[in-house]
Amino acid sequence: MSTSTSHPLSRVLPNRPLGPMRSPARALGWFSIGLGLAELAMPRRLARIAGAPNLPTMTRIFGLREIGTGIGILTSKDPSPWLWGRVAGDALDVATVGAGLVTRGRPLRTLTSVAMLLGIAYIDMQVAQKAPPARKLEKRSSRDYRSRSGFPRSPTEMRGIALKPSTPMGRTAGSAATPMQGSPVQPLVQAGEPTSSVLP
Amino acid sequence: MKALCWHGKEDIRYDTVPDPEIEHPRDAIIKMSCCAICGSDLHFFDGFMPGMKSGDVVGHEFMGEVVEVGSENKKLKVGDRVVVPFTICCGDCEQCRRGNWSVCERTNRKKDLGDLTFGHTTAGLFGYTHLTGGYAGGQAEYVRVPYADVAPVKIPDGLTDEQVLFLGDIFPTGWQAAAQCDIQPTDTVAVWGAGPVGQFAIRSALMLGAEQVIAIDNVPERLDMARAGGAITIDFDEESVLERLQELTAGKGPEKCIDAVGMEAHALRSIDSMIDRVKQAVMIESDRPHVLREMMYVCRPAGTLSIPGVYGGMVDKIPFGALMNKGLTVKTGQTHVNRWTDDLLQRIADGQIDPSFVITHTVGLEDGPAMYKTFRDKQDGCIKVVMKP
Repeated sequence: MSTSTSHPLSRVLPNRPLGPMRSPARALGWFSIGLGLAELAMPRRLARIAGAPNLPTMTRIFGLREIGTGIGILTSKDPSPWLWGRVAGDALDVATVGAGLVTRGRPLRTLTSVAMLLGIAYIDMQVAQKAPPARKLEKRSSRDYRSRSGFPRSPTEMRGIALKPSTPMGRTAGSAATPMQGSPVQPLVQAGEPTSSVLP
Repeated sequence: MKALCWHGKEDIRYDTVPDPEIEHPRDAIIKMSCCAICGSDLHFFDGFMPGMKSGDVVGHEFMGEVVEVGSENKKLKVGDRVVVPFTICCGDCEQCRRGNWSVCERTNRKKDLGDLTFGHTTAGLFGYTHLTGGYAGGQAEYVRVPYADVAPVKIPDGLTDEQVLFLGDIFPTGWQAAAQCDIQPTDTVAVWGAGPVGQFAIRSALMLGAEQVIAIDNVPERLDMARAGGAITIDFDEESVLERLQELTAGKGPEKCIDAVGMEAHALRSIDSMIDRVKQAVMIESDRPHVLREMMYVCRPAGTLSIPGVYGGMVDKIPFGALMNKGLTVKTGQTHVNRWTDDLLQRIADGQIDPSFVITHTVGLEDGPAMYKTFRDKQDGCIKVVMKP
């Protein structure tokens, strides 16, 4: 039967990154989201700290770009394009912040920010170059659990065995979904009955 | 003695700690012969469980031989071989007498913390947060068992440690998850999470007569094991869970839904899960309830949601309208282990099920710290780690 359930919760994005470069890529993804949120929340302050031009609208747009890139890295089966997208974004950031040499009177601060951005760009490139496409990775381990049922017979034969009055294994089941007759459930205490409260 | 101790996020160490001693006449000291890492241990390993303290001895799935018994303990004697349930029960309070062992009113020695966090205290637990008593756990050479004349289950000869170890937690947990669904012969039971508890829930649902059991996960080996246990599987990386469940139930939805995932759902591809991750990172939400939302949406009206998966605190954006209007029943809680142990021990002895099927890695206790990461990251096909001293 074909159905067409569509609910926001079921919206499927591509798979998350896998492989040996997964951790650095994921770290960059989260860094991207964090930086993007900061750019959205306090663009003027960030521009002042970085010695960049005071362009709050553009900074917020850059913030959205960072968040989008971060989500892409974290959720993509093949994060490489998103990582290269970060590198391209880094170039844009360097150019924008570098303009602060003209518009801001704090060249040392601006140059420091540019140097940091170049460092981040270098890391982005390293991770992007080494991140293998997920389609080349083997998701399955070499272990084989296809015969591990835990049952003495096929699952079909074991269906409902706990409800049968007597089982092929000689077990008398009784009320399997309720506590056993012999379980150590005691009668409730009577009202007013003294109880010990000693804790070990 | 040697023990695995928590020292912070992703920091479990094989430490030397003082040997435990009898502190109360009902106590017993157990020499551990076999223990395991539980999925709920990963919550403190990942730093999501509040109330942990550096140096805490962890672990709550363990068994062993009684080597010392308190003077008032009439149940155990030296040499007994026992499985110790993860819940510590007094056996005397009203909840214990009702069989509600996991909400024993007396055994949480940090009752104030429990009251403050949950409204009312719950039972003390081994090797877990101080919200549940802060008792030293079972991933150690020796363990002090408080109220040892109540919960420990004596094991008859002829059964191996591997066959009975899981009576202390994950087998009764999976069983209770299925049992409290009140499964009918025409029911479809959907189980989210094919980890150890999910595997036992699948087999329990089948043994309790479900017409169809569906397992949802994205790890191939776990899905293989679920199929071996009789489940139809859905790989949520490859197909839409909601669409597939609708297909398998003629558009009606599963009557019974079991959440064997809990607070750390890894459905990274869903938008709500991504938002949960961000909220969790900035500490405005403690748990990631993707599975809860999905179950509430997909469950057949008048169905049951059974939640053995552990949640620790606050969750957001729960579709309570779906829950209410569809008249769903929610059953949850830590497992009342001793409700089920006699029955399940007998089923193991009778050969109906051999719980050791779930063990994928057996290592020495000293290798435990590394195995936490292997288990958490599902490396090397890891589903269940058993450790021996």
